[in-house]
Amino acid sequence: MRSIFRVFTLSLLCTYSSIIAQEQDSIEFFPHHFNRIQLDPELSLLTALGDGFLKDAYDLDIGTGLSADFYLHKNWYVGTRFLNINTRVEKSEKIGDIQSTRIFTFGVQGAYVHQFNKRLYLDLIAGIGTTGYYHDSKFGTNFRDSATSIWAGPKISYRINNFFGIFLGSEIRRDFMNIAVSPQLEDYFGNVNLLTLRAGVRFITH
Amino acid sequence: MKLVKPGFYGVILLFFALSLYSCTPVSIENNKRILVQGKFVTPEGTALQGIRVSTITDINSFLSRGQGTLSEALSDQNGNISMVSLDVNPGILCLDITGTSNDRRLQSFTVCDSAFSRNETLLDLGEWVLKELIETRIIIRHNSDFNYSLKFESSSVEININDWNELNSYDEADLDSKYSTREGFINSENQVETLKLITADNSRVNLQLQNAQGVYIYEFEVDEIDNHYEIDL
Repeated sequence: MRSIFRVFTLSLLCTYSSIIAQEQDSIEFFPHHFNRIQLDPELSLLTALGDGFLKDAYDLDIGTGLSADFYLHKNWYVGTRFLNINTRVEKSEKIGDIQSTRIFTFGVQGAYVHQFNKRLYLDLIAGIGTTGYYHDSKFGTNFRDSATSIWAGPKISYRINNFFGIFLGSEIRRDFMNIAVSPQLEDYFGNVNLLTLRAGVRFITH
Repeated sequence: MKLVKPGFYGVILLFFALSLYSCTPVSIENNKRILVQGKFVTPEGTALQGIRVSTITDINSFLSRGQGTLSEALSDQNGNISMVSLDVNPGILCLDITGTSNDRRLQSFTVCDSAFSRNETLLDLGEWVLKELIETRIIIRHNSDFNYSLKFESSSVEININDWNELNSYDEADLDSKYSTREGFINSENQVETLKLITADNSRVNLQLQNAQGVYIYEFEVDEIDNHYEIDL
């Protein structure tokens, strides 16, 4: 929790100071264009929403992720996204004797990019992917649950120079779980809703 | 001399690793949970709180043996239990039911797949009646070797004689239609032997002792908690 707070604080300070200094900005920025690639490593602060098993039985650690995007046009890009979330089980009677669970998502995404000025951008992102919930049971056998995930949310990025930037964002995500359960548990195990705050750095090519 | 490439040993190791992995007979089923629910009461209908229910399975792999727990929970103040369990495939799913109260000693059960009604994702125990256990001690004072024969009406009597485990062995040939029978020999080394009978049902017990001096026959009613009888041979 502390590290994500530090990242947010640092990002906000950088953004603020850069905006103040923007008046005297002498860097010549190349606008986004076709063929440009950007890499966004990130840290995510996740909160499970609703009455599902993830909110009820787990504590979520900070997620780590990476997006790799390819610009089709100065206002559009597509890409892939990886996200890993480690968890701690708090109430095993709600989910069975599980010791720990790692949630790994891989998917594709697309975004519309709005440029406020030569440094500040807003990305409106939506994506779809597959998620695996990898469990360690208490007697040592591993197993997994699978899900289809969709996500959407804005991301504000600030370019420090032509090749490097920072970003802040939020995201709402829904996992459609493929777990077979009795009708009494369908709501509980059927879906997972996650609210995510994201912060990271952005590497941009040419 | 023909050299064996290092990759060959890698393939052999991989083969053995896969073989060991495939020897593990129990695996947890992906994408599945079972809801276990039920209620525990006394024969009088009083709700039983604190009954521990566990779903367990046998682990009998190359590297480990034993029992693994798939879920565990206690009944609430209304005697109800509701918990989510993992499932095994392949493997046998069993339920372990035990009381946790220090005030009273209750029946405990271990039942497996075939014994309870189970569909794909729901294991409904319904209403379980747990009886209080009756414990009776028969203290035998003796100074000679003797044979004993113990017959009891109930089929669910657990017998201990001091720490002699051989008395727990159960010979199907000794069973008749109504009575369970156990027989054995005790030497004169210990001057006092204690037979401990534990059952949930009232039962009549016939004990026959035979030494060099003669045959002695006794009959006991096992129907009181912490009752005990003494015999001087």
